[in-house]
Amino acid sequence: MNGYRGARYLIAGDRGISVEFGNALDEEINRRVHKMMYALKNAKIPGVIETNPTIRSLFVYYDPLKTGVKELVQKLRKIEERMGDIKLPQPRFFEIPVVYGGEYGPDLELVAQLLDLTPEEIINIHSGKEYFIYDTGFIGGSAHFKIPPPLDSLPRKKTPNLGVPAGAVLMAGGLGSVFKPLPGPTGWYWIGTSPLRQWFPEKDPPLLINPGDRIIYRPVDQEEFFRIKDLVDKGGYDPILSRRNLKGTDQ
Amino acid sequence: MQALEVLQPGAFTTVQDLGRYGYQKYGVSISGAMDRFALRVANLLVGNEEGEAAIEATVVGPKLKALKNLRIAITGGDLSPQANRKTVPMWRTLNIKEGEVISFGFPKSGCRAYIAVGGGIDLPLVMGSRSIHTRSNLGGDGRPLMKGDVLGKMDSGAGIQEFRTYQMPENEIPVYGGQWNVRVILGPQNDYFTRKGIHTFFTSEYEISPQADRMGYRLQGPRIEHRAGADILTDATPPGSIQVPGDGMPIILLADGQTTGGYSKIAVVTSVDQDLLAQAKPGDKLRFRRVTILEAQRLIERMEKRIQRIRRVFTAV
Repeated sequence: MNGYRGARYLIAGDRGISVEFGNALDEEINRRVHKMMYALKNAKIPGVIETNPTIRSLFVYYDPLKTGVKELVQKLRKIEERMGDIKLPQPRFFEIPVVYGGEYGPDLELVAQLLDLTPEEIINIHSGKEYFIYDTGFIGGSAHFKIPPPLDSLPRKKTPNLGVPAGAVLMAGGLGSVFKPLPGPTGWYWIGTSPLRQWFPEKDPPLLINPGDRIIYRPVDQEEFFRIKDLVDKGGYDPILSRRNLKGTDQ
Repeated sequence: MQALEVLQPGAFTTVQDLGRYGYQKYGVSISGAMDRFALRVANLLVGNEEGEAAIEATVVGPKLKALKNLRIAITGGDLSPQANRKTVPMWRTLNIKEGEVISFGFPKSGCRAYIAVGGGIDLPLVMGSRSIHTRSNLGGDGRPLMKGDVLGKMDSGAGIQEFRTYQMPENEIPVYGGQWNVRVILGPQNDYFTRKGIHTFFTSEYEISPQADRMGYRLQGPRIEHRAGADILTDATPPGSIQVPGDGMPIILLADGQTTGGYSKIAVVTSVDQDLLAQAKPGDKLRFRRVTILEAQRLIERMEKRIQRIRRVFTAV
């Protein structure tokens, strides 16, 4: 991003520092966050417990009995200066099947009304674009992307929905959640449901979609939803687009 | 090795250790004991490593039947513990015979009690921890204990007769209740609040609302004023974060708090006072006091020295 002159180092409690690279949904800012994460991992600084990359900052948890805060910030600044040549992992490209509207997306009509569009137009906008994944926060590793206009003008709902299922495709406050990893409450608009699974606690990493990856939605009907869900449950569905294309050319 | 059968689960009883580290980047909360100090001491009292998994009871404790001779210790909030319907002391080693029933009565002080068992509660390690986190279905069956559950323990390597009985020095036992003075470190988003808002936060009394659990406590009191909006571009929410949404009422995130959030954070509760907050209940009143990060970290050092001192008392003689 233009005007980048180094990160802000914010004290956040007695065990954490937030290294803030910017205050915008910006791929370049997000890549800096992840470069810093890998650079810090390689540096193996004593006292650093874990890091949590977010859309625009890297949270560093440390043990204050093992490192002083000033000393840690100095080391982090040095790492930040030298992180330019860090290579990020190869991103993957996922196709996300989704049934829009009806009981699969009870807020679709409302969203269409609020934006003065038809439900079809909302679906076309939502599924017509590739998205970059900025972070995997919230419970079960919900993956977030920047939602395109005019969908980005929707605020969070005033009254949260107390129970949406795993797979719920959500958006609010300028962000989309690819789909909800685990059932639970949400204050975001629920416009569709995907049969895919994001959360694999027995695997490492435990998530299907990770920061830096890209996704695109594909509208499907109920029949295909259940066909895919069945394959997903059996572990026989591959949502990675590039890999499927490669397989196609092999044949 | 089967150790305890759950006859009655109590209000919200889980198994907790010192938490799950290294997985926040995947949205996994740290979880672990709400009152780490009480958990650590309970473990030391039964000869365990201080971070072993133990039972965390909330306000209404469980009824548990010993399936073998056990060495246990109960610390934290006083939920009136009993063994075979006779009151038993807290903060000391207890030898429980096979068939004896551990139960709880009226919550006298505090909110959460810890029941450690010699050897430690044996749940499978998931992502490096045995802690049950109900919101992500992790640890055990990913839910609070239920009637009929049987908890195992790890082998402590020796019969209970061979162990000594320890007691926490009286002056080391925490006193819970009254008004809670919570020490906090300002930031990271204090620039989202007006001077008046920050003044309100530090000079007012806030009551813990009924919406208070392992995830966090919603507070009620004078409205904290934002400069402009309350929302930030989502970033990390470490345990102890005090978020202030648009309604101006603070929310303190605790052990099971989410890993990221989109509300501005006025301050973060010091680590040592997060333990104390675990013993505060809905209706209790809090006041916030500002400390510097160096003061907060000295408190952590002091807490570690205190634990080492307690450990020495137990291992001496």
